[in-house]
Amino acid sequence: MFLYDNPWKELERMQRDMDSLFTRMGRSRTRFPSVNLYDGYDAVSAEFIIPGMVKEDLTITFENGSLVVKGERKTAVDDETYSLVREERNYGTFNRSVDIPVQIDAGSIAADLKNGILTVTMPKAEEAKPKQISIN
Amino acid sequence: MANVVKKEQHEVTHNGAEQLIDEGNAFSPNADVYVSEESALFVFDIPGVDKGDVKIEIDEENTLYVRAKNSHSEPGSAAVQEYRIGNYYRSFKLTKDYDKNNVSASLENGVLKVAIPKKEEAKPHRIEINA
Repeated sequence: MFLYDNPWKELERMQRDMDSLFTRMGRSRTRFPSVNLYDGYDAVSAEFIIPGMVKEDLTITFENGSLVVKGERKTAVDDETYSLVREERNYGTFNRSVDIPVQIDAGSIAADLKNGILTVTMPKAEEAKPKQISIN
Repeated sequence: MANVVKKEQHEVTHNGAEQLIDEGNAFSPNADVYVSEESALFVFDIPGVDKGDVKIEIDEENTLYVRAKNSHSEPGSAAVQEYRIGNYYRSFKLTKDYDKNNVSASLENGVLKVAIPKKEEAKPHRIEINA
C-alpha cells in the first residue's frame, strides 16, 4: 500500500482531520467551501475554494446582505473498477452563506471561476464608498 | 560524496514547477487515493494552479512527488481568511509494483489526477478454466 513520506506531516494532517470530524459532529457539517473575503476600496470580493467544480454545478445569489453559493461537488472518479482507499477531499451538496457587512450594488455583482477558485466581486453602493473630504 | 538521485521525470507540461518547492515552504494539498487491480489514481486539490505549473516525479525508491507553483493573485489582504493560498507539495511512497515509467496526469479546474499503472508482472492474471 502507500506509505507516507513524512510521518510528522501526516500526524499534523490527522490532527486536522480529527478537528474537522469533531466540528462535523458538533455542528451540522464542516464548512465547505472555504471562503476568503477582501475589502477593497470600491468593491468587496469573496473567493470560494471549489476545485473540480464547473459553473453548471453552482448557483450564486445575493439577498438581504448575504451572498449564498450552493452546489454539489461530485467525487473525482466514478469508474467502478477503482475503490477509494483514502479520502481527504470533501464532496456532497453544500450551501454556504456569507454576510457582507457593507451596502452592495446588487445589480453589478460579477462572478468568475478559474482553476477551482470562484471569485465574486461585489461593487459597493455609492453611499458605502469612502468619501474624500476637502478642507476649505 | 554527493549522492545525486536521478529522478524519473514526468512532466504534465513543458516548464514545470519550481524545483525549490518543498514540504517546508508549501501547503500540503488534500488527496484522495483510488486503487484498482491495474493501477493507482491520486487526486489532489490544488486550487489556483495553472496548467504548466505542476511537476510530478517518481524517484528510484518509487516515491511520488507532486510540486505545484501557485500564481493565483489575491485581490488584497483578506479581511476574513479561512484558506491560505500558495504552492503545494505532497509525496507518497509507492510499492515496487507500480511502473514509474508509465505515469499519466491531468489538471482541470484545480484538480490534479495522477494515474500510475502496475507493472505487467504485478497485474493479476486471469486464468481460463478449460472444459
